[in-house]
Amino acid sequence: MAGTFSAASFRTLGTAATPHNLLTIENIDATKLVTIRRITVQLDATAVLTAVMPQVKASRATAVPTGGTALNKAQFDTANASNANTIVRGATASDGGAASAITATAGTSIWQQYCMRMHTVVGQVLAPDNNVLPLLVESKNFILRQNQALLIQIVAAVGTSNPATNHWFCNVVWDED
Amino acid sequence: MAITFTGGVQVPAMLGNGAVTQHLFSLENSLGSRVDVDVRRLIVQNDPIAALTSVMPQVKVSRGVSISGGVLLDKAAFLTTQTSDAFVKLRSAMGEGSPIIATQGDIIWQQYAGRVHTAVEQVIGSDENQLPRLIDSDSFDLKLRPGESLLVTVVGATVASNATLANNWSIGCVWEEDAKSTFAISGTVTLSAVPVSGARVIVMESDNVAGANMFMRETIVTGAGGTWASSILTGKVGAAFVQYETGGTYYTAPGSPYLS
Repeated sequence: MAGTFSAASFRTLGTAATPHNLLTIENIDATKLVTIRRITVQLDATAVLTAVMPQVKASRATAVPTGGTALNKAQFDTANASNANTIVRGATASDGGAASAITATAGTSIWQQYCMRMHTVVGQVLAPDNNVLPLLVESKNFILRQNQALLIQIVAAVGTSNPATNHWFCNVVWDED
Repeated sequence: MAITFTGGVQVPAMLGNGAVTQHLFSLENSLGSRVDVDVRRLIVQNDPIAALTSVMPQVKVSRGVSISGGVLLDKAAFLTTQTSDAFVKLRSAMGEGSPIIATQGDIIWQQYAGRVHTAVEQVIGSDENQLPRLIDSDSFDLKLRPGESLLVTVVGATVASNATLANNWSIGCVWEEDAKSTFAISGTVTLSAVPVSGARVIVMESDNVAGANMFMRETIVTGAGGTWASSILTGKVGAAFVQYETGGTYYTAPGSPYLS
């Protein structure tokens, strides 16, 4: 392995639209593989939502994404450098900042997750890790080959289920060979 | 090499600072260390005792740089037969007037840590993972080499998101120290061909003979016979300088060239 790397999106506001692309990771290298080891989403929704909460779906995008904001990649070991052909995109360039939309189309859903909603705005709000790929990818390889991308997409029953009072972020960790 | 220390630290509750940024904790593997640090677990908890109706703060982990301030913490050993490298340092923002000063690096992982929208009913404390849990495994090392640090930072949307008397933060961290290879340097200090005790030998270590990332590794006071011995990390270069005082007269000697 050439190393383990991670990236974290900025805090991203809901767009009041559905779907809403939250994060992508793509591999455009002809010879190298990207193996996803964990990907989590968290949400803090500060407004009441009495309808069904949005789903967060992971899929292989139908084409290499464009747009968005390229996120910096962090190293688990500074002796290893991430391949420039591994690209992570977020949907904003700062915490709570203006949207920078990722252009990508979802493929077949691999995994999905509810996060949270506030039926009434009362009491404690917890912050559990929401896995958008099964935990077994820590040991079973989930591979992105050349020109493949993983898309994390918020899918709401209606656009109003994902208002700007939804505060999302996403973390991803992967191996490169 | 070999694991020479496994230890942990649990930072007592730290109050929020009423600012949009607060560095809570750092784990530094300082220059001079003879180990790599592999972080095995890092969690944060928060007990927010006041209502917050806006978005809760994010807690972000990065490779921080230029770290100073705060309060140095004691290290707890998993095995009392092991000793931590003295150059591995832990800091917290515990205590008023002792903030950690640091600059964040690229974000490795982040986490929400809870809020109370209204202050009613039970409030549950839960471990919030500040690094992906796969670092529990020996197969995935989050490695801090000598001169590298890990920094935990609270980032609020507004100053009200991390109010001083509302948020009570706590951090837990476990790490291993993996010994690095070294080579030995040694010598004898003499004056007029006679070995002297009580001379001070200052050992410097650097990335290269140009002095990149030079630091003082240690000061050794020679014993009987004037001998001294130290070690330098494999791949680095070392140098030694001598000062000796007797009868009010100071002596020195030309510094040794960098040795590798």
